[in-house]
Amino acid sequence: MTHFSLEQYVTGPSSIHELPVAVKLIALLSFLLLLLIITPVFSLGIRYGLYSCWGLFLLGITHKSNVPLRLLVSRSALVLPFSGLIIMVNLLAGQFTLAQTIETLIRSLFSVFALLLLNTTTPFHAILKQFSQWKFPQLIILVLAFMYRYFFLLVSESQALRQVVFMRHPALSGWPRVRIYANIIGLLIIRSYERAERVYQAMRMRGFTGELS
Amino acid sequence: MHIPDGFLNTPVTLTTTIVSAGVLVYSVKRVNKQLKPEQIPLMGLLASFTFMIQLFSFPIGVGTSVHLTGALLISILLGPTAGFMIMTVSLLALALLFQHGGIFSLGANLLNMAGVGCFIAFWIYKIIPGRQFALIFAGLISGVISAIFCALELSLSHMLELSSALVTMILIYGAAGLVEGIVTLLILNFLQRVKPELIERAA
Repeated sequence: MTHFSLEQYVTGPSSIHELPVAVKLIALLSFLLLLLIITPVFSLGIRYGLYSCWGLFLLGITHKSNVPLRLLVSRSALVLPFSGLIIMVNLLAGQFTLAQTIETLIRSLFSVFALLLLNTTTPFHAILKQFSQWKFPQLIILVLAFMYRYFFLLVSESQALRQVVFMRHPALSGWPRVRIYANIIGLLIIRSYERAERVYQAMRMRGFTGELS
Repeated sequence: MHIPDGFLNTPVTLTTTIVSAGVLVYSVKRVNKQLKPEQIPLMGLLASFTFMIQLFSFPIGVGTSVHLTGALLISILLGPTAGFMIMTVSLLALALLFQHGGIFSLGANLLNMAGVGCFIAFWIYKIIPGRQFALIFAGLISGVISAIFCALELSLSHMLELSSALVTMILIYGAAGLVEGIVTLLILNFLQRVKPELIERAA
């Protein structure tokens, strides 16, 4: 799957990869704060000036991080369907000016771009470790870690199940397809329960006592 | 539909974030109190599950298809507070890793999907007798409420004219909610036939 291509850049090396995770997380939050909350306060001319600064800033970080710009841009474009929908509704109703449309697009693209820069330069487990140092609820961090660990497995399992269903019913459509899809999802739930049980037994074996520490 | 960053203004962002954070704190406290240790990996797996479920698209005609959120299903299996927590993790990961939704819009998305799907839909399902009708009705109503929430958030941020968008959004979200109800029913029926103890443990 294409999603996993992001992980191939997390090992760097670059000066951005080597920054402490805390610095990167705080920088990301400050950037979003500036972009989404502070910038809209100013008048039109200043806003465009600020947007250009933020754009240059993102480009600078990208350059330093050695992550291909093309990858980041093409992944950022994933927000466009939603933006496109909203903009279309507004244009049809005649409420949006072109300037407003452009600004909204800039804001959503820049935010996604900044998030992508974090993803491509920071391993997910390092982010979780930082969350834990910041005293986020342990339960949430554990669930996030398990989720990340087993997501890829579940996806490949669901693809395998769909494959066998397709071989059994090559021309599945309409209501029968809905029913069979529901069965696949049901089976995946059962397997999740069974896997969770095995994972828990293995955790106990390694000395987990039920304490969240 | 996940609202990306950049669409909501400051008051809406603040309000939705505070409300969602409140519900989350409440949920985590409740779950921490009731949780058995063997449920921690289960919650993680179900979080990946709600993530993965979005890859199954169900056509609703006119060239559009919808996917489930899984919120109603998870809440029936583990209870609404655990459901809300699982959905939070799943939506946070979607925003962080898959560019679906955003960080500042997370509160709004949580309200629209997890708040409505885990609490409102779940309580409708509990109150109405008869599983079949209750599930379909819960799905439909939660879809409509999600649409109203989403339309309100966007219109209060001056992104939409409420009157022109509300009907369209209610139609789309209502259809998605209906599908969620029907498919959740089918899934529960399958579980009942194949592994009834999961349903009994939930009830």
